[in-house]
Amino acid sequence: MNKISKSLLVLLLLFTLGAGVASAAAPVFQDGGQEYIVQADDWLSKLADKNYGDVLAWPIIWEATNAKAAEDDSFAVIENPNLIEVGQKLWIPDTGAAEAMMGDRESKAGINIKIGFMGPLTGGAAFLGQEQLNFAKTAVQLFNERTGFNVQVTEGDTEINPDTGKIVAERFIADDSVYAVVGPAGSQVCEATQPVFEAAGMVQITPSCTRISLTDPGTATFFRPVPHDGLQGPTDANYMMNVLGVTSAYLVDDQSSYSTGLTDEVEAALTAAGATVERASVTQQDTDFSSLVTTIVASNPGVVFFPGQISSQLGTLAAQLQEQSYGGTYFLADGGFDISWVDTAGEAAEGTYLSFFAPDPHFVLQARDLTTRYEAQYGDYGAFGGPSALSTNVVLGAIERCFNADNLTRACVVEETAATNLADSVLGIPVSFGAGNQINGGEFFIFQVQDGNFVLVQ
Amino acid sequence: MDQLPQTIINGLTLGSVYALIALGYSMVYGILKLLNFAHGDVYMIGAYIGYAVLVVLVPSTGPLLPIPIIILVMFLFAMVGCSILGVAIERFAYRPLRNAPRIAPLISALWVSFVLQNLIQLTISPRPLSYGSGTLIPVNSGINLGGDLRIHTARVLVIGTTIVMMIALTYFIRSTKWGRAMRAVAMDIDAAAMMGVDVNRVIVVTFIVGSALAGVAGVLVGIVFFSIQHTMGFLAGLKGFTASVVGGIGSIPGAVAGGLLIGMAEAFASVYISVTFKDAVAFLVLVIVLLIRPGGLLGRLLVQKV
Amino acid sequence: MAILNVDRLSKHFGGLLVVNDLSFELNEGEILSIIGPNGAGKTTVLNLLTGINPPDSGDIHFQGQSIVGLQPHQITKLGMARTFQTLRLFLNMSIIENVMSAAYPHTKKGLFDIIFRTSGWRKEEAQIRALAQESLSFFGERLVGYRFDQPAYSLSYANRRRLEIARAMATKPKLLLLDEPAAGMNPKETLEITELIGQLRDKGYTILFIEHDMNVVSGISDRVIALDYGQKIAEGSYQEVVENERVIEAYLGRKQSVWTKA
Ligand SMILES: Nc1ncnc2c1ncn2[C@@H]1O[C@H](COP(=O)(O)OP(=O)(O)O)[C@@H](O)[C@H]1O
Ligand SMILES: [Mg+2]
Repeated sequence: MNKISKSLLVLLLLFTLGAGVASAAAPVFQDGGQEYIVQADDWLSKLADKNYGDVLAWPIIWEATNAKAAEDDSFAVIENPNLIEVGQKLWIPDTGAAEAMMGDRESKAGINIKIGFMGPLTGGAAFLGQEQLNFAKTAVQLFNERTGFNVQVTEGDTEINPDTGKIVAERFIADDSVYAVVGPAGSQVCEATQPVFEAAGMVQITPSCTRISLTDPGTATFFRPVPHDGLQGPTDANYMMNVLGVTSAYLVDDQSSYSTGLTDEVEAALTAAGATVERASVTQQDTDFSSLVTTIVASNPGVVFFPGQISSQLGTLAAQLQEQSYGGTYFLADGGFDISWVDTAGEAAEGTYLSFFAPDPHFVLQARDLTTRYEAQYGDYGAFGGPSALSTNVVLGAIERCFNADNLTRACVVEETAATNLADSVLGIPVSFGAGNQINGGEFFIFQVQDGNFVLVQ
Repeated sequence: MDQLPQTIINGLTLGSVYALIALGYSMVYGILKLLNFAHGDVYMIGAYIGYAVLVVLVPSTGPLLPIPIIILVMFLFAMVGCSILGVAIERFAYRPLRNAPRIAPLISALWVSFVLQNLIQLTISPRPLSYGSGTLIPVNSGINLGGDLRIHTARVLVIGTTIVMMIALTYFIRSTKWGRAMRAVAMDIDAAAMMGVDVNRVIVVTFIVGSALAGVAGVLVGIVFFSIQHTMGFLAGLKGFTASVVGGIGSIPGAVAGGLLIGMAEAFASVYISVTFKDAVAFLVLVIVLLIRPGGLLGRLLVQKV
Repeated sequence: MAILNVDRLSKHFGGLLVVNDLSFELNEGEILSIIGPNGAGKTTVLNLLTGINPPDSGDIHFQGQSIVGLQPHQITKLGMARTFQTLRLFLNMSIIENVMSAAYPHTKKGLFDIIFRTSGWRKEEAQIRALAQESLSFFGERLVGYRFDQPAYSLSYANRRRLEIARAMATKPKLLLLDEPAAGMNPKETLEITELIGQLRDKGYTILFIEHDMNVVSGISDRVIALDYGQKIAEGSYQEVVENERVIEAYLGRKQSVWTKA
């Protein structure tokens, strides 16, 4: 029993014994609680303080209002407890009901539920893995506060290595309290771990593996709430030719399966549309592209496309293209959605285009709660964490439904994840899964670097 | 456009960095017969020290000192910081194992390497940091070599600094008592000790000099290629090691020659074959050199003492 | 007066007792020879004296000070220098550099002086060079002049042995430990080197001369100690020692040529 609920119970007890403070706003009394209309300067915690004498009891109002909203249209669901609007209707349980809810929350807190997170936590892609991990943790934190569960995140470092990934997978599977796994990053690692989770009948939901074949045909336990490369290649090629009007391109991949896969798609689309295409491969360890640039400049293509994932490389290539006076357009993919390379390249980054599989949480209203909390705990962030929080929320929702149905098993979590049907989500997009457990819809966004920021252009 | 001159410039830049790193490998190997696999990470730390100085001396309001002074201060701090680090590594990771089987210091070298990388990842950032293009040296500055060809000031700085370092080091090794002592210890550690050479001090000096050069290389890479990351030491260390083997491990001019050869091989392979094969070509150079001259370009296979 | 006091020194390698309870003294200005068949432990005695190996037990006093536990370079600095039975020159260095490298113990200038090329440091370098030239000139024409800058590996075998002695002299020792300095030389060269050793003594060095061939030490030894299996089996004048029963037995017992050189 945690400290917060303990002190809350004591306070509730005092309240029941004492007179209780009647609200001055002439509330409508109903069974076990009262309706309340939000006034200016109201916060959930303030209301909790007023009604229960404990600022920390605010999740009860949140949870109760959302529960009411499910059966009564005059109530609206509170997505973000920090954002309640004046005039909005809340449901404030009376002390007896609140006590019962606290008891319920307490019993939930006693259940050992874990979500496995796997990703590159060390090495060159560590920033990505760490961001995904911390976003998953933040999402779990918010979920725990809202529902009273005490879900834990257990983490495993894949080092972007398929074999290491399999070992991590086995470890999660062996832990009976792990009900779903978020991760990994890197399509090659997803590919290696996919059959392992399938055999174990456990949900695996990836925030960033985009290779097509992962959901085509796919497995029953593998979920992808982000669009795949099959959409990105044509989107990019189309933008290059029809919007930018280029007829020649130089494609550079970094030899990772994600990068080569996407480059293949773009190459196919460009070639089909009649553009001249040249191509080269670098590695993720390279720190100098001067000689590549020398070759590029010699053939002077209209666009240089580099779906790299190591942000420092993106900056170096941009700066070196500028150093050797390349005059065309620089075009990146998801890895480009990371402000650090823009800082690296300075003015050389200006005008660069990139396509990204998810919106930037900085700009998503529905993510505000998540990002504020994240920022307070972990500092600045890029765009990889959003899908990780989204994935986490999807499996948390499934776990909650299974629990409510008194059937908290891995098999149920698989079923419920597949049945996910959200009209809105933390990234502001609807989430449901279609064939191969690929998200329905899903689109790529095209951004341009303008004045050192990412600006959505399509 | 003729790509040859630009390719040579690219190769010289890269080769200079490799040469500076290779020197540290070669010197330590020469003296201790130890592959100091933490050396690449000392170089990485040098880049981060340079970054720290840069952040302090160039706040967003503009540089506090003239740019050449700032660059000098960056070199100075990186050299001193890396020297201290190098000496500490020798003292705590290698010296206790000096009489242990050869594999032991190798493992402790790898351990140091992981510690340094994780330290930076945890305390600074797992993300790449940037010296910023144009922060110190204007993007469009450089020497015009006619036509479209321009050699950027940062590259002039890299190549120039490397040449100065090489000359200073050669003088140090050839003509000073510490240099003589280092060569003596490298050739016969017991005999050197018997001639009154304080072997431990010579080893410390070797780590100071090698680490300072790595620190300079780290700062130079930050200035010329902009971005630094906690993992940058791995491949650079591997290339520096390859360069020192190509040149003849233990040989100072060999390390320079090896560094330049590997840098040039990469640049030429990128432009005239394919950038995809540049690392393969670099290691192919290693294989070919070792087939023709097993001791490396300028190395001698000394008969092991009995 | 004794410059060196060796007191009940013992050393074993694995199960092999190589130096066994050995005591002796060496007086200032004297040439003491230690003879004994190959494997008797002579070189090991030198290694113990110079700090390359630590003794298991026993004590060594040099100029009244115990030197057990000191590092080799510290012992050298106190005034003890040696040559090696198996030549250990710095073969890739020039002749003069070999000798200059031995001047290290009595130099003071540090990294700072080197980096800033202070005048003190330049003066010191000049002194080191002069000292090295002086050491080399002891051997007459053989190692001087145009040869200074030749690499040591270009020298003949006999000259390499001379260079080792010159290098040891450059540490400015009081006591010179010579480990079979005539090994591998022809009779004429051997004679020459023993004469030189006599001259070294006359210059004021005290000398510990190690040799497995008794003949070599005959003319110049003030005293001789015979060693067998790490134990002192005889001590006295040359004549007394070579006529000692146990010494003859030790040499014959090993079926080694005692009276002629291999
Ligand atoms: N470092 C060592 N480890 C093991 N055995 C040794 C070592 N040094 C010498 N020995 C052994 O000690 C014995 C004496 O060797 P040494 O002192 O070289 O004899 P000498 O110089 O009289 O010929 C030999 O049997 C030799 O094998
Ligand atoms: Mg011997």
